[in-house]
Amino acid sequence: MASAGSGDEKAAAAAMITLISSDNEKFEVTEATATLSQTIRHMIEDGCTDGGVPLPNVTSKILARVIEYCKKHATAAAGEEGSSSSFSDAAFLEVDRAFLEELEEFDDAFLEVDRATLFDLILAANYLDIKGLLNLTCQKVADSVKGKTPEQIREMYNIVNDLTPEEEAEIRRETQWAFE
Amino acid sequence: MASKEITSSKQTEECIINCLPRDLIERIFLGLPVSTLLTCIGVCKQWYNFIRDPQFVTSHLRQAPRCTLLFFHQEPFSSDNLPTDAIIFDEAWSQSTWAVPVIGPDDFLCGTCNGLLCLYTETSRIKIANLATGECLHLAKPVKKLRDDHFSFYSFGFHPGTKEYKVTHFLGEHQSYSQGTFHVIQVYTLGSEKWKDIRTPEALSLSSVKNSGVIHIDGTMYWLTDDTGASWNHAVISFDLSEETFARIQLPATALVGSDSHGHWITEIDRKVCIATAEVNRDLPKVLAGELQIWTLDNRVEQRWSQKWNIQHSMNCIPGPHFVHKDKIVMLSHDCNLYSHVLIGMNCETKLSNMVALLDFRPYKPENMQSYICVKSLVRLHTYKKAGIVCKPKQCEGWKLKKWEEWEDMRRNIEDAWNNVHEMEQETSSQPHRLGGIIKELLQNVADEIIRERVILEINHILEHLPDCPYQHPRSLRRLSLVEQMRDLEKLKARLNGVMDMIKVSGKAVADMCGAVKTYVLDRPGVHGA
Repeated sequence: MASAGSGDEKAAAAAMITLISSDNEKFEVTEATATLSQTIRHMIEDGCTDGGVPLPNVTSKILARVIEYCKKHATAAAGEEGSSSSFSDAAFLEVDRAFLEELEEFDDAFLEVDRATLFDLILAANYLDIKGLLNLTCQKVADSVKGKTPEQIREMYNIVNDLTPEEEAEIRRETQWAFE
Repeated sequence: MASKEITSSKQTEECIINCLPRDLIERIFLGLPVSTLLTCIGVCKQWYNFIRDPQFVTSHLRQAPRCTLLFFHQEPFSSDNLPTDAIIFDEAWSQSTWAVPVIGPDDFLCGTCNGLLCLYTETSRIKIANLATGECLHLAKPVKKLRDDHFSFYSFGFHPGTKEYKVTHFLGEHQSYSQGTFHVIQVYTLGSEKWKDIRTPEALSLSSVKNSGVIHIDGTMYWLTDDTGASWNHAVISFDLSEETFARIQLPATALVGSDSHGHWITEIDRKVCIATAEVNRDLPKVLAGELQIWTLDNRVEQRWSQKWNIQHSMNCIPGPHFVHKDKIVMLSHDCNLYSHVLIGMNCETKLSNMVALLDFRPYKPENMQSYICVKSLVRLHTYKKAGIVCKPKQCEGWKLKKWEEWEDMRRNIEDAWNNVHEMEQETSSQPHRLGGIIKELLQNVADEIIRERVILEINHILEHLPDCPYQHPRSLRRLSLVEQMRDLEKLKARLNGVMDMIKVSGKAVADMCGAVKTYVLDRPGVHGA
């Protein structure tokens, strides 16, 4: 597999992979889209994708979203590769910047989901080993606690405060000279 | 179906974050700055234990963004002393305007590593402080009341292999024949019981240390020395913090040409030892007079150097010890401004481009500025506090200390002035509106409806053309750094001048309204008093 020539690679890019969600829905995607997932990439390399790739940990609802993400980012990656050979440096940078901006807008819109979906996406990204999606979704959760008080964070995520008043006082004392 | 509903409702009751596997919780927390993590510590026990876990602290430290710490130690200013100040820039060169609480008014900075600062005072103590969390550790100096001791003779480093933090001190000798040299390094390992003396293989220069400072890379410290003889032979000395052994590294021969008129500085660029050299002004040894050459130590064993950059037309000074940050170099001008430049060039002939003015640091002087690359970390000091040489901190800490009193008073005065300006603005801008209301009320007594409407129209016209007060909210009362406070004072003066203009505008509006009443009501006999 590793020594495949460029002709084979082109053929591989066009090859379709079938992904099967936990509720048995089938999704046809290009290999370029599917291989954004390291988990699926390894399955393809091992040649065990005939008859579809069962993904028992991912529901069809979440898988559809994950595929939407992968399609966009696979196209962006392909676009970048193409542009590097056909544009001068300045034009390439310009195209590059436009691509990145568009991708950022896509990511922002993509993250406009309810909290349960966001956490399902984190779990799916982790299981499928899609680094970009995992970083994106985890950062979204991280950003949600920035600038909040402990009480606001507890309320937001249904967390029970099991710290004793003494422990809380100790924490306040320890962090009174903290600096942002 | 029924069982599925039960599980889903149970899920909403539990914390959705705490249900994630540990490595995913870690990934989320790693994306947060120290200040937010210190808030998260107070959310629940699970988060407390997670964030305090030494392994998490290490992972967080490893990916912490590198910031730039500018440090100005105290200096005489008119009849008084300016206290120490520090300014932090983040990775995107955005400046924090806030004061750093752990840095005292008479502290000097000896070094920083893993988010910890080593601070020197003229008292008998050395302070190790976490920049971000504010945790402090006070150590007794190895020699109390040492004559001619200097903050730059102290340094602070970490050895990644032994995971030990070490404070070092170059112990100056004071016999007349060995002026300005040292033979002994005193070393203190955090957590241990006492300082340890280690003899150097040769007499080393203290003036080079004062001039150029010390850098730490991967558990080894490096500094410059010069043979005090006529040859002015500079060399780099290294000291391994784990083995506690010395080595001497010769400088490249070409970097030594005209050594006596050249300044030499040691620095770190991309985790490599570098030497910067330039011709300097004879009377002002820190002011550059020619091109700035930067050499990198490629191989320590073979003592092989290569020239990295040759920078033409540099500015007045470079702040040590870290002046190159990624693709940018920071430089100082004599009018107390800090600039960054992008380094672009071929075959080490480098031009400075994309100059950006970062900071106007008046009233501090360029030659007193230090620049360090540092991080904000969760590294804790409590495990080192049991050692005998650790002193108990005074009851008060931070800005409650008596030595901050004078500066606290000044800050309070400025804050009061801001509040007064704000009140004055609000009062001035509301006056015409109040008068308009009163006139409208009085107009009820005017029988002629046409005249009444005419005056109301006129008053509304005047009020509509009155500019809105541009400042609706009082200024935030967070403590600013001293440099920022100076700029803040200038802003305050500008705002005060603005108030004068507002008073004029308001006064004119009031006069116009009175004029309208006079023209349409008072000057027409029979209209009023109907």
